[in-house]
Amino acid sequence: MNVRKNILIIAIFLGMTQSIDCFFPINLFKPYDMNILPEPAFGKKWQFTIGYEGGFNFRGYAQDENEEFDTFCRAMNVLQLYQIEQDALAMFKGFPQGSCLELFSQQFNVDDDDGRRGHLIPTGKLDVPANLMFSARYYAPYNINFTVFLPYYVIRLHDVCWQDLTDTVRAEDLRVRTLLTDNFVANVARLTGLQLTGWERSGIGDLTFMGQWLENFPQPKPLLKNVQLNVRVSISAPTGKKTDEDLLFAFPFGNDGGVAIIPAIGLDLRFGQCFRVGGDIQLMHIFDSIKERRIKTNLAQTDLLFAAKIKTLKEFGWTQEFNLYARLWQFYKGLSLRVDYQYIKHFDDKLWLYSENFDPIVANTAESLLESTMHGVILNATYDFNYDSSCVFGSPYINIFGKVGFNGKRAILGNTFGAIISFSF
Amino acid sequence: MSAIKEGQEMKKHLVYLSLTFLIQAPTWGAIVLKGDLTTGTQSFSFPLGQYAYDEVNRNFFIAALEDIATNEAKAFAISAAGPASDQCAALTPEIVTLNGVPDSNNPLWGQAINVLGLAGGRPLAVLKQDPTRFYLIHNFRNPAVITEFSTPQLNDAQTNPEVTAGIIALTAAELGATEDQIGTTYMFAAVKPHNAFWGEPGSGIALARFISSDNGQTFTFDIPNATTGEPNGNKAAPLDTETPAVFIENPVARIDSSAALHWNERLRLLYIGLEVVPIAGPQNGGRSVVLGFVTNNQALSLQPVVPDSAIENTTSIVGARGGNFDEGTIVAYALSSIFTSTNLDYLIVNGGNGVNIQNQVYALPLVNLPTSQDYGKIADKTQEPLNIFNEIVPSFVGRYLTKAATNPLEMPQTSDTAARVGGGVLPGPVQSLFTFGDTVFASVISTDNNQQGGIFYSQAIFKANGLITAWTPWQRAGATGSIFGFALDQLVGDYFFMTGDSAQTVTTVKRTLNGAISISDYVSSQLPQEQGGAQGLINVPYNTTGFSTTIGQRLSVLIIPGFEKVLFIQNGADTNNIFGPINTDYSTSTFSSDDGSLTNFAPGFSALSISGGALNAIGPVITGGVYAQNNNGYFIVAGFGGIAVLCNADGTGFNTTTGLATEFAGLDSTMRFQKITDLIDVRNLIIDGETIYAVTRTNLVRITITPEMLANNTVQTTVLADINNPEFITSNSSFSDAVINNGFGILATSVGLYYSNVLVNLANVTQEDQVVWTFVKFNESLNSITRIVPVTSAAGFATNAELYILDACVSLGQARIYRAAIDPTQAIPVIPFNDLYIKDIPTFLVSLGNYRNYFATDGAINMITRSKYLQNPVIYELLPPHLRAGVRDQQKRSFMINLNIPQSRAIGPMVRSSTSGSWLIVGDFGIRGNE
Repeated sequence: MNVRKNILIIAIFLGMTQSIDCFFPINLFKPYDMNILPEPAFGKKWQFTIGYEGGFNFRGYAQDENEEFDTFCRAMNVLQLYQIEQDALAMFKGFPQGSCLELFSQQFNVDDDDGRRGHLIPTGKLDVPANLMFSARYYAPYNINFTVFLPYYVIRLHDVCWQDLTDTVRAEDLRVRTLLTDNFVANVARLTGLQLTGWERSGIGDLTFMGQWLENFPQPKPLLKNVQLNVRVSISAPTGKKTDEDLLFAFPFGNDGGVAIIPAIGLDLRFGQCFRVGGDIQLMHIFDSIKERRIKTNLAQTDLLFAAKIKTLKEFGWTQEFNLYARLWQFYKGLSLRVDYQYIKHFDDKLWLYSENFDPIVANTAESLLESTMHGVILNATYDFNYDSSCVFGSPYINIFGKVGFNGKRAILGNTFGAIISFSF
Repeated sequence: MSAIKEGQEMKKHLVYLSLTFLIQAPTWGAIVLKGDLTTGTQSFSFPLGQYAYDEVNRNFFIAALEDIATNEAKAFAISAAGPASDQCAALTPEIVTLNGVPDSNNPLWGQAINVLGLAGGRPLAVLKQDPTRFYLIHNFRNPAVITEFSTPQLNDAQTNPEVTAGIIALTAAELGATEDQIGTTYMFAAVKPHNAFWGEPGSGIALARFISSDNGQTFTFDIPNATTGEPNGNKAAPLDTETPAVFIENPVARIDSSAALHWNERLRLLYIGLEVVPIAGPQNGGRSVVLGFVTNNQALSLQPVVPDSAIENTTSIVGARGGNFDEGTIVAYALSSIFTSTNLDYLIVNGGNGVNIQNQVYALPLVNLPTSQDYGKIADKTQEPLNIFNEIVPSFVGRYLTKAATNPLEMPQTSDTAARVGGGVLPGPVQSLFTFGDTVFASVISTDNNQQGGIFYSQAIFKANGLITAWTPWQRAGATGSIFGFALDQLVGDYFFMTGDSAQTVTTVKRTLNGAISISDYVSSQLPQEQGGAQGLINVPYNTTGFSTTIGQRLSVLIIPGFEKVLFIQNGADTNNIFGPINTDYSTSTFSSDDGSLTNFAPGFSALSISGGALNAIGPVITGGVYAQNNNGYFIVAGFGGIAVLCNADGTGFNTTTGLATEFAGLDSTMRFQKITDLIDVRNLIIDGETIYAVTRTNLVRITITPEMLANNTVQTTVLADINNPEFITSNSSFSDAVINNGFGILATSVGLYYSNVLVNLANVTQEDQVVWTFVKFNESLNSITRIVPVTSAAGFATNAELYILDACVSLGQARIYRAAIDPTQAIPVIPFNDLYIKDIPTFLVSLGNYRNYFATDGAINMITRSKYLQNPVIYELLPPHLRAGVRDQQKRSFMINLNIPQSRAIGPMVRSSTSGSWLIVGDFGIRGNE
């Protein structure tokens, strides 16, 4: 009976939504993020968690994390994440002779792209009205538990604007304006199928299964009272919404079609009664995925304006996540406070092309395929109603959190806040 | 170090210096090179005479005409103007190392030089005071340690040789004539007989061998018996009236005073030009050119350049028989040669048969297959060239003519368009001759059509098989005025030239330079960079239909369009009834209008600056021209917004009966620009006789205008090609350029090159469907044809012509240059050149690597440009000299020209001024050029 009930509960969750774990470099929480995982409910069989995260003030952090260049702009618009200007003329380069887009570019054969002609500055606003996170955890013997996670996202890009930098004094300027940039959004949609307006997308992310072994090692020392070790292995299934190649900057809600394996290890040290510090390392390897993607076909192309869409195999780079935290644990009844520093680094992705018309070397120079990093600070306030193991129904656990992204490379960082609540039975 | 290695080292050094200077060149405009005078408009305090040019090291050598009186100037008896400095280097100091003896008195110091030649880039000189020997300035890299060598006195060609009465011409083979002669430089001297004149018995060609030994430490002259090769025999090979290579049937009556020696380094053959007067008689005749070569036993063999059988009458250029020779002679005043871009060799001859022929230049094909028994002789003009390929991988080795002309039908004749350089005579006697690439240059002191003298050029026009079929008309190149000697620095397009009032007063040496020209500041002020600068350039020559032909009233015009504005600059006019370029302050002589009209205009201005009015509707103006029909002449301009015509309200233009005259006399204050047609995005405007064509992005249109149509705004257009025609239709295809001549059209499109049907004259087509456009297939082409550069004779496309085609793909960032021949007599009139890299695959002439937006050529220099591309600055570069089919990776040796336009974003097109001969180039920076 219990087994049937458990299956039913899992099925309900699966029906509601699906996974978590996206790797587009945006600093939204994944539901299995150790910073917001509820405290293990020892002695319980099931723990159900639901969370909400909302984000605001999303901004782009470009390629120069260390601000070596004077031109680096810290608070860039999200659509300037990869390049401040987008090159509409380069968009049509690299296409085979005689193709529709090659012929289109051939009309601009006098002065071509001088660094201003055909260049546009995109701006837009990215909102995350909701990042809903669901999980169900089952506690097995031997301090092992299994969890299934599924996020549901509502994300919106709006107020998209393309500022044309093309002059109006040379014949080629007017030709470019007339044929391309004066009615840029419609022309690009007509020629490439790429919609350069805003959008609102919602859907699930990748479904993730996690197995965890968590063990406490009490310490008979004056200061160090307990060492908690946890080892996790997760597998993420590609159930999430994929990149919409025909929408502007419509990033995936998961690993864009890739199955991922996510090993992790964490160490928690408790000093005295209430002070805990710890760290956690998580790696993610995403297996190759095959799908139609927009690719870079010319070295001058900019990442929001890729006209070529072909079948590709994507070889994902590793993702590393490091967390360091300090915590005042249950210093007043079940109330705990925690501050975390989180660093995530994703290594270069690589594309393999199912076409001989394009150069894979050029395709792999896309800025969006290169390494990205994110730095963030996370604040948590949690309350565990079962702090004294009194028999509160469902042993509720509440976490109110906030995250501030403060640096990064090729990443969208925002400020987010949210809460989770879990019940254990 | 051997002489050869040393020479090569010196070349490298000089080339390096040249490149360094060009990159850093701070000043622009033609400059007076400094000689012993360092200020003023003269280079030297004494007159100059002889000159020579070293193409490899780009040194221009000049020599004193008379003995130099002042000690300070004597070191300049021979001097060298290099590309790296505006100071001529003095090569004849008082003390030198002579024949290996240091601190010797220099026999050349302050001496007049009778003959100047070059041997491997080193000057050879014959003194006026002692013309019996010559000197070699062997090492002049360091002016303080100059080494010279002198020959002994040369003997004549008598059986018992005696000292010559004088050397009248010199030349040298840069390297040994055959591989086993490496280390020996051969020099050839035309020597007079002892106490007699050139051409009399005993005249001949002396051979001197400059031998390096002791691993390049020791140098010696050997004057062999040129007939037998016997070392130190000191005897010239006979060349006189009785030399079989000269006469036909019977010895010629006389050989007159001139001799021209030309060493063809590629073929390693000596050509000797003579002035021959045969004796009368139907079979008697003579040859003005003799072929010489060094035999294996190191003697000089003189051979007929063409067999007797090939010469039948007096039209064979280098030979004649049966003529009335009292009326003229058979002359080769000057000789040169070209190795064409199609890999064939031609002998260039100034002269011919008859009197007053110094204004004629001919080109004769040469047998160039080394294994041919006819090697070096005039080739049978009717033969097809033989292409030879490697055996394993059939890559192109060379193209050859294998058989000499043996009968009159095979012999080039004076009436052959293929032989007649310039398609006719020059406007005056040739003062100096120069060849490079596919082009012959000649300077003329005075003209017979009230024009200034100067440098003129004619470019070879080829058939698809590589043979020359015609020549472009003589046009101005480089410099105007009295040019007594010149050379083209082919790497950068500069001209060295010697100028003066007369041959006895040549004291100035100048070099043209790339960069700002006299009108640059003016154009920049009128067409500022922030407004896009100059967006086109149209050269309107003085002989344009509708312009005044009255001596004293003639003008030529440059039309320079810009954004909503057009400049009309009178750049040529009559001065003392001699037409030539003018240099005036345009800023104080400009009529300006900002409403597109000539309101308040009265003749007397050197420039018109018209903006506003109908030009506002045109926006960026990019092209234009002058159109004349039925006594009315019009300035027409076109651009992105359409086409506008300068006319009166009643549709009349300037009166072409009287003609538009100097200072724009003939234009009326009632004229204004009027927009015609609803065409937009005009890429080119073509005026072919009395017909106007416009190429837009999507159409080729013929425009018919009359005063009535203009008055009523009912100008007619006839579409001749539409991008939606089945021939062109591919989504997003477009037109870029067109050339129409004599009603025959060539159309450049993004889907290839097309030509109109031969039997239809585009000027007479009434409906679009009467025109059939036929695709021209080019192997390995991108089919992204952007520009067409026609090379035509005076007859245009009515006869054989040639096209250079820029195939440049924006999307792939690649560009290539193809060539095609036009033969209107053929059913398929446009034939891709047989430019080969691999057997049986005719392809491009040169791949340019990256994208380029404009191309221009005069056959000698080939210019390509690209506007600023992203962070890469504008490119203006010259393709490597001697551009030739079948040679790989030529574009890697292109030379970037610094126009000093660092902020520029747009460049091109390049246009040659018909008035000054200068190449001009426009862009958002205004105008630059080489003058």
